[in-house]
Amino acid sequence: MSSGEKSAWISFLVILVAFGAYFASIGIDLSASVRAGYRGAPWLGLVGVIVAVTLFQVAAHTALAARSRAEVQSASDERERLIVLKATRPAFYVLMTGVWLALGVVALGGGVWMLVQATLFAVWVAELTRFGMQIYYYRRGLA
Amino acid sequence: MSSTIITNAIRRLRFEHDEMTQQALAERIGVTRQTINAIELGKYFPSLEAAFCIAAVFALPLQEVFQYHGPTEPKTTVRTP
Repeated sequence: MSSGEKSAWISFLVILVAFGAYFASIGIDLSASVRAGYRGAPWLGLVGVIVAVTLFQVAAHTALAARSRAEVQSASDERERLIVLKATRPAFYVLMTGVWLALGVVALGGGVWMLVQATLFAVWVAELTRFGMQIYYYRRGLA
Repeated sequence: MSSTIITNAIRRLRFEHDEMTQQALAERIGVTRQTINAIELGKYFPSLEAAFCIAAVFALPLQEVFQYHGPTEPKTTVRTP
């Protein structure tokens, strides 16, 4: 497995678990929070998840670089660059669809907090699509 | 273009050149070992530049390393102006 594929797996799993737990908690509390005008904890939770994801990504990629130093230090080759480009395309469509749906949430009466959550959810799904497609192309090939 | 099939003789040529490893070939042309493996398995078609680099490593013309088996195969005769 190349360092590029390992990196894609790390990013995919970290984002899946961290933001998956975050959105699960948001989903569970959503109706009660909105009805009660509850705003403080979700913002703190969001900041906590972003900090945790950042720290874990840095730690995991540092460990990966230490294990396969020569491979990580070499620049990505044409196949890896093509994989990243091809994986970005479907992720873009997912992101655009998600952003339009998030705007729809506002049109249905959602506030700023709901807009932020819906947009963040769209970004999350788009990122999962991007890293998932990278893994798919690494394993299946590009031909 | 979906029916295009490009095969190659890289694996055979590596063994004919002192059993050159995938890693050694990868370092010669500036790609990763995994990319050489993907090319050999037909999971990735290299760029024209990389294809020429691979052919140059084996000191062979391109068509002896890569073979095209598409719907319109190239003509064997070449006209000169």
